[in-house]
Amino acid sequence: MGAVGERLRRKNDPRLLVGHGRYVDDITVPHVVHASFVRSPLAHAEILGIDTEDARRARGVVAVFAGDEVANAMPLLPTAAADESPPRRPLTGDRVRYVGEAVAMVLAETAAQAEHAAALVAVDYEPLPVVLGPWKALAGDAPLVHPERGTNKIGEIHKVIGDPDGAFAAADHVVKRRHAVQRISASPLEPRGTLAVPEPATGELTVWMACQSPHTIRTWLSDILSIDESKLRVIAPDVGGGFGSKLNLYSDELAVMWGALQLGRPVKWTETRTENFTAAVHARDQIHHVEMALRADGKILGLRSHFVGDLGAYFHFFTPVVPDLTIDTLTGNYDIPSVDIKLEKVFTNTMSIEALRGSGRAEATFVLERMIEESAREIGMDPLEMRLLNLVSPEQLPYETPFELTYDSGDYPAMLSRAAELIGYEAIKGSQRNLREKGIYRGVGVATYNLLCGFSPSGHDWNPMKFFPGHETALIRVDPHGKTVVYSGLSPHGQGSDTVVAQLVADELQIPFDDIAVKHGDTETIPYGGGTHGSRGAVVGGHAALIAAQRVVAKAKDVAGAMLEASSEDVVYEGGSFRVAGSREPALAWQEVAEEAHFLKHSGPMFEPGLEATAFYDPPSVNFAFGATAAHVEVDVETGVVSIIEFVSVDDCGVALNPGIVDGQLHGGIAQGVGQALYEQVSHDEDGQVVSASFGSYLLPSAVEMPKLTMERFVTPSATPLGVRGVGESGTLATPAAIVNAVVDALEPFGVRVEQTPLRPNVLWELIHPEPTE
Amino acid sequence: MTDITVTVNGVSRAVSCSPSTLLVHLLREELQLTGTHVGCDTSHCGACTVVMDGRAVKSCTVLAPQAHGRSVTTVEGLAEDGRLDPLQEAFADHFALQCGFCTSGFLMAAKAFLDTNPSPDEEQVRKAISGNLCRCTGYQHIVDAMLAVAEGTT
Repeated sequence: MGAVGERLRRKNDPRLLVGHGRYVDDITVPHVVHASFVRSPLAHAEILGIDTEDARRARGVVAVFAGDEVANAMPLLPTAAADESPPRRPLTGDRVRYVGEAVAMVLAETAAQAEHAAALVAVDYEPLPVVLGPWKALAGDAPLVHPERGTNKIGEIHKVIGDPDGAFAAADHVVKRRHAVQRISASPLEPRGTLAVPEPATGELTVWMACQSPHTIRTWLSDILSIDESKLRVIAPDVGGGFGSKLNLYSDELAVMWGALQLGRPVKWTETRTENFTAAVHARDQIHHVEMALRADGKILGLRSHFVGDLGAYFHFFTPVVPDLTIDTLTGNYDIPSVDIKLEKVFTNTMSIEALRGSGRAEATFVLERMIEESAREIGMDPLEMRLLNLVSPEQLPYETPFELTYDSGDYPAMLSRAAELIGYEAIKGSQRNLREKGIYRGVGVATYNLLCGFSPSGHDWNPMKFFPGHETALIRVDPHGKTVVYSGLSPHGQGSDTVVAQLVADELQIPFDDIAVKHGDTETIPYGGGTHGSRGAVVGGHAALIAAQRVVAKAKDVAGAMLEASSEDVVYEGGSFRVAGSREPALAWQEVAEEAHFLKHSGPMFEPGLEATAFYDPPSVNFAFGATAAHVEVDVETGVVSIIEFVSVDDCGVALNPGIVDGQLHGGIAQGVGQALYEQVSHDEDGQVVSASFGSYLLPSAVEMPKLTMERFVTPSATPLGVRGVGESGTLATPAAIVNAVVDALEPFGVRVEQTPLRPNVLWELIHPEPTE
Repeated sequence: MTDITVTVNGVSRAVSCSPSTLLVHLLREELQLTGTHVGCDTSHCGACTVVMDGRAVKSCTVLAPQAHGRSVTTVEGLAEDGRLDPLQEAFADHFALQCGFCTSGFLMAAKAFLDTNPSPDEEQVRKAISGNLCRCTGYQHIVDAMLAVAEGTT
């Protein structure tokens, strides 16, 4: 029986379940000093002076770094699109541009002493006018985030494909709506953390860091710190979630490393949750003005969107390309021949926008699926029926989208129909009138998604970073006992990629799953890899492991051939043993061959000793996963509270290497989608203060808010050797629209116009109970 | 400094600490029990949940001196004689953890709850863990694992 496809227990669980996980904050070294940051309390201000005297004299303080001179001596941070990006250093000495920007770093013998001393640093700020909100940032008289640029506008992309003007001229209906996707926070349960340990005698630096891509970090560090990569070691130990937010090299992290090099002492920093809400990247934050051209029967003829992306004050790794991805995925699973999409990107006095589970594509899915819902309602058509009319049909596959993406296979209409069936679409619709007479408002909403993922090949345009590979690696090393270690370039931090890699390698090597260990997250031992992000674990990292395993088997056949005195081409490996084809001679076991590969006792020097292979795999193209979701909700019209009665997700991620892990990925994505629809928002007041800087005001769904999830899987293998598709981000895409569509359905008698999320009770209550107009 | 004695995972520990030391810091720093995690600074996330005298408490809301004379169980004390607690087995069987950072808190909240409510329904289970946040699992598999323990199917 193979390991692939089985619900095998995860490799990492035995340690994590008994409290033996090692996250950055759990690791300590002798002689360590602790960092604490002084952060800007203002969104935009000039720094007139910084008084660090009291802090320097405070108990336990080792050093205080602050001021223009110090900041300018620090290296520049790496960013996307370096030519267009305003320079950013670990500390800012002259001006602050968002609340939470690091102004000073205090190093002390204990974390408490560092925190105490940081509070003694006095910064004299001259407040400057603040620019918030993307449309306001575009206004001619808007304050400028970067005055030297002369504008807050970063760039404009305008894509006109097909014949949108003709489509709109020929349309029987044109529906216009505004859709805003609010700013959210990744909020991994583990905040960020860095432990930097220098070795002054050799110039080496070892960094433990809660990160998703250790090799990328190492290469950037080498570039900006002028340390050979051979002297740098980056370790991602156990990492408590990332969701894109730990893909960056941040200012505070680099300050910690720089401080360690200055002092020649280890420096450790653990982010607080409050800091995480201001100093870790945000996501989404787009406002779309959309028009849909429709024929009388509901066929979509064309789509226009003029939208703006609020990117915050600086670029991080992927900041400017996140909204670009929204353009390229704005037609989703639907056959929409003509599009006219215009995007403007702007700087504001806020934290940067960055990749977050589903980034760019989640915004597109939300806007499209809300727009179809609104269009159907406006022309008096059933929204499910309109979707089924416009979805790309199996007969149209392979299908090239207006944005030149080629969907390979699948059955989108069947998945949507199945989701509707599972939720009881018709029954819910049929019972609405009776329930409403009793004051019960229930609704049903659906939405579909198509997840563009496994971003590749490396040189593609959507990779804006000089150092960021699209490939993935695996080194498979078999020891003389036949036990095997896979060194994977993936850097899983909860996804379970280590387990699924072990499963597919077990089957390829025909050895037990338990005989395989998977190592990752340490640049000293792992071949150069890209890490974990963009739903690439199985589709990119899995194939690297598969190819490496195939090479190991080929090498083992060479060894077996030498032992059996046969050509390796004549050696057959099946059922875990090697035989000469057609021979009835006793077969060789895997372990015998592994031992011989190392000690050459029986076969002489007929092969290079050892049994290992490395593979670097750069996929020729991206990968797509798709599905449909359905939500059944009830809205309490007296309070505005939404309850999700049931949620259905029908997903196709191709071959599921481990169904338990796949379901977990989908569940987690759905929960983040529920949060986006109903609860989560990074909120700023009019001065740019983040007023949602704790879990008391930034609301993650708890187990009580989450409904029981009904999952069903379609399996359409992708055209890859493993047949896999991405899954990590899938749940985030269609969930918010399905829920909002269901709320709109529930509130149909009130005719509410939903233009923004989250649909918290106060927001919905005001929509249900509008102020009377004169 | 205050001298206190706390029974931690069945072992009596005499320690000297500042009166303002939080129990979570006593566990993590003094006793090096780093399985209890800090996920926030406002007592919302529940990652630091431990069991004190049979009740689940967020150890960031308890001062170490308040634990004097009491019995505290952390995730490191959940398995007995190397045998995993049924909850730990169920979490593994049901994929109830991903990144693992919140897991200790969930295990301890679940332990205290199921010890006093051995036959809960799903709604009660969800309510019992509503003081703990997880960003990875959507809670479904955690709920499944707890119900499996309650039903004796793990």
